[in-house]
Amino acid sequence: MTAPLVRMRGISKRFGPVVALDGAEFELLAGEVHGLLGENGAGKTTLMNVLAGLYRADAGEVEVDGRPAAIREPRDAVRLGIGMVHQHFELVGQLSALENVVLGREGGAWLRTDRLRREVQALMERVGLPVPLDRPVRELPVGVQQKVEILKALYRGARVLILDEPTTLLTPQEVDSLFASVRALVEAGVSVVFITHKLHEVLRTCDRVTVMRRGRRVVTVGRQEADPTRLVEWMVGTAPPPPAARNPSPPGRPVLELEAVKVLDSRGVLALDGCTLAVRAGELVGVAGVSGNGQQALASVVAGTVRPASGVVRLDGRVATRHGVAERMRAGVLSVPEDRLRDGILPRMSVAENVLLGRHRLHFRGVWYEPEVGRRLAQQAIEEFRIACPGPDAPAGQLSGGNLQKLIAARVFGGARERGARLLVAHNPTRGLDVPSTEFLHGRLVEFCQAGGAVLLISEDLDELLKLSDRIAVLYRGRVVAEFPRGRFDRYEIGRAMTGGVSA
Amino acid sequence: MTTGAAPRGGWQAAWPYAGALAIALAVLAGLVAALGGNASEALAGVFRAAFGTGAGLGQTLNKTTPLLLGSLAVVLGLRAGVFNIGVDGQIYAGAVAATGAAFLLADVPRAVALPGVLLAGLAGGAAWGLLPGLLRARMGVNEIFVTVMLNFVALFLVEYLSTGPWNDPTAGEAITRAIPPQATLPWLFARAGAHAGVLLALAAAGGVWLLLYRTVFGYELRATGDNPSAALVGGVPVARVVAVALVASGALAGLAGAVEVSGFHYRLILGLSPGYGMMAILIAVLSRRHPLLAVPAALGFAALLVGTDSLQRSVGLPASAVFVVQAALLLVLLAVEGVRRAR
Repeated sequence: MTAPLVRMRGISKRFGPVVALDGAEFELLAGEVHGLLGENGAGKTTLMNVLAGLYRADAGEVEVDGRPAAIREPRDAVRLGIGMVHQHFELVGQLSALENVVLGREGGAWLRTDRLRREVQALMERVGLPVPLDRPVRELPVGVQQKVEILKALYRGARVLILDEPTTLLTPQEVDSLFASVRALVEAGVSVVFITHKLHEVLRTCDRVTVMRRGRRVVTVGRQEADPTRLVEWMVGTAPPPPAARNPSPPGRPVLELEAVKVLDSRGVLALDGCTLAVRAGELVGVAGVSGNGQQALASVVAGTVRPASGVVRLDGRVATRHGVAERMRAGVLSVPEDRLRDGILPRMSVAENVLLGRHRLHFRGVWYEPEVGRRLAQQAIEEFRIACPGPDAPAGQLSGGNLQKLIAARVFGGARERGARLLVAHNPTRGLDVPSTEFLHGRLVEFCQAGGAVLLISEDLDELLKLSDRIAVLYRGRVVAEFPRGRFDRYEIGRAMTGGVSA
Repeated sequence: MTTGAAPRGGWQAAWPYAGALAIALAVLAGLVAALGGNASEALAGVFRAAFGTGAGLGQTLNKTTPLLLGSLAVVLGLRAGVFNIGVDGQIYAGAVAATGAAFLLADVPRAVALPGVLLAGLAGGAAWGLLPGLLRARMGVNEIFVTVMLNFVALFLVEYLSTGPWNDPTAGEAITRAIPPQATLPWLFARAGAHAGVLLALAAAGGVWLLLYRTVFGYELRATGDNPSAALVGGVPVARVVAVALVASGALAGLAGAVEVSGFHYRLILGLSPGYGMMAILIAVLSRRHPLLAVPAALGFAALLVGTDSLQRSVGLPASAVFVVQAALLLVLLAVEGVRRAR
């Protein structure tokens, strides 16, 4: 066996308290399609971003062509022939495909369109990737835009092409076309790294597979040894589910009911596609799934920030489909948003004013606002949730991520107490929190449940769901495709449902 | 700035403005010298004209009024996350409504006529804010386009009224007949020629502060301006807040128009606002979107305008050169503010 084209050894990378890569290993052989498989947060994209020069590893070494390679910035990676196509494209919409492909490589002061066109056309023929060169890129379908991105990388001399979750935005026909292109690229001498969390894609296209979990490589195998059962086991681990964090409460009346709810996202794509789900009083329902399968839409439609295109939402048995956030709040629905910076925090306003948000109508019934009320609540929250900050008057934007999350938790649990809330929707509530804070927050969720509240916990952390849930619903392509009661928790079965089964 | 009670940093935050003023005066001296004037005489003249005499002080206060009201209008919008660049149009709309009300209330006592005129100004400006407010709230139309377009509508409306139905036939210019005396603002300092409008503007500054920091609506407005999606998740009716903010912003500008008619010109004239709307934006930015800091900023700005106007007399600069000096000073202030924010 010849030396691998790319070898990465002992790569570690931390983002603040979060360990993204913990001594990860990876080898890419010349002329292969290499699947990089793992759950969200396993470190796949981070590892490849290190290779592409977007992140600098804290430790570890990279070899290209058997020689140590110092990749400090994207330019170094490009020089070594490494190109990456990201999940979200980096194209200039108004420019044509040709202009996008040659951007930054035009050479000289004059745009020599004819020469550049000949070069790009020759490249397209060589690798079998025809795209219309003259239309503005934003008018092209997503699948074609992706090919423009691939051409862009190849035009810069990429011999190693990294595709990050390339099928996420594609239609099934476009996926077929992409896979055909990948094969053509390999024949033209390009090696491909294919980042995905979908088993069937790996089994369909890849020569070898590396499975990652928690920032480390679990295994690298050839396609013959990669049967679906073992791949799922490698992805999610085989440890038995952790013991329940509490005794299940007797099931109460349904608090939240979703019936065949469809939600369109901002691009007009169905984010929820007939989602049916119920949460009863005293019950904690976990929603598992690979991110991007409708979690955001589910949280929004329950909180009331988006209205469903069709279907019914019921709260305590009453139809609430068209109610907005304020009405939902009055009906006892509170939410911990996923993106705390985007949807949770008023960065220029004080900690006190942030703690009040969503509760201000409870504390001020009339016209007047009293700053002292917020300061008092903030002082309580700072002590109770151990929020590290200079004081109630400090701008919230100065707090660290973990403390912002605590601030939001303090706001939500405080509001729940004052309002006698019925339903709590939490979307990745412990992401970025340290262990004691996570435990603390879990305790509060359980407490809320045992007091008769209903919790919808949407999380990408399967262990968190296994520990806390009475029931786990698996969301895949905007639908609940499977539900598991606590007695039947099984990592493998849940993982399989999350990845769309094997046949999907 | 989070509490509203005390701007962060107190007086220490003021030194960049002192620096800005120093740079502005240095530029002023340089320009005057370059245009052939005596720089030290010019600087002394500026100060004397703005503050040194009763009449100068009166002019400064009179200029402060529309600048302060206009900048409060901009501050209110910015705080809700909208950029009202239609303050000029709203000033004209308020002025039109105030003039119309003054003509209608010709036969009633001042105690009725004057409040009626001022309220009409508020309503006229509010109406000019309502359209962009509704379009933004209902259909997400960018308020910048709508407010700018409405500036032209208001200008042409004033042109039509001042040359047509309300024209003063004896004047031979684009001005309307004078409003009846009981519709005019009383003097604050009669001998200085300062009308009482500045008291309204100061009250408005206090009112905007109260609204922003001591009412639930103000809290929701600030939350909306800071992060609309977080405000929405927090149950704030964001679209409605934005619409109301634009209406209130328009009303403040409209009041400025009413004060100009009822306190200064006593009639509607074309050219009532020499670009107050744009200056108001600058003042709002200089005062860091705080209604109380807008008071000194507007006062300083008015003094600069009045003072440089005097350069025509004190060092004999032509009127167009005075405009050049004023424009240069605006650029300096803007640049200093830009540097301050970048640090």
